[in-house]
Amino acid sequence: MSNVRELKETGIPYSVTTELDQPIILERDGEAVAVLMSVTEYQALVTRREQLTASEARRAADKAVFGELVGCALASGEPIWSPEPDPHWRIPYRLPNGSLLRIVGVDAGSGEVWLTETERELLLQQVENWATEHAVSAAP
Amino acid sequence: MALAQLGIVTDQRELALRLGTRPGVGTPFSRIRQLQNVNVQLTEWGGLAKVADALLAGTAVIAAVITTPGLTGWHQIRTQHTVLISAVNPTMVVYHDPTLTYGPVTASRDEFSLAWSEMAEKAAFISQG
Repeated sequence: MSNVRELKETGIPYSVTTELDQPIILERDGEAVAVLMSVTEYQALVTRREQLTASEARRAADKAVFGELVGCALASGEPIWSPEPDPHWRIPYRLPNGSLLRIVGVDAGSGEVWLTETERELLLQQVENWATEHAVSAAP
Repeated sequence: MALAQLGIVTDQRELALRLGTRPGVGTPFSRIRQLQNVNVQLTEWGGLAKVADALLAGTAVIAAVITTPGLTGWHQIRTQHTVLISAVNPTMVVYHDPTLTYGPVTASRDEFSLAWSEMAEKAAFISQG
């Protein structure tokens, strides 16, 4: 969070509208030097800046799901944004035939992946069952 | 595939057991150290120049990658995978992909680097023991 400083200036009167429905750009000698915006908009900007991007969320989820596994038949899909109840990303994991096995949530603020070790093992077991049923080879 | 490149014949079932491979689930990359009768060196962020040198010395090189649309056959499927690199030249990387029924295939160095660096350029250098 930026520091709040009190400005004391007596010589120059400022007149700005208090309805900050649009940000106001302050200029000095024709060059933009600052932006005046509503607190609500500023807080929304700060929150957005501190949130994980879709790519970061997917990497975090992949790391949790795959660990150091290579050659897994599971694939991660495009993260979907969910603002409620807490902002988070939902990353789908699918089999090669496209069927959805699980959606893994990633907290957009903390980066926490919502997948316990038990849930992970269950997911991998589902993949193994599918591969066994469909005689998918396990070439090392 | 890598062992075959070194002229080593091995039973696939025994190999899967040794590497902890589960059908469909895959293999923990570091388990490659469990290979017998070969020297295995695991590296991260080694770069393609090191790979090229190793190939010239007769070493087999397995690279861990995240599959991308730039790798033959993967389209939008994103998963952790390995390929056996067979050549590196100034513009292309030539490799065998165990999921493809044909090969070798090629990718530009940039395309390959994108996929490889997503896995911290993890590689296994395997040479005769």
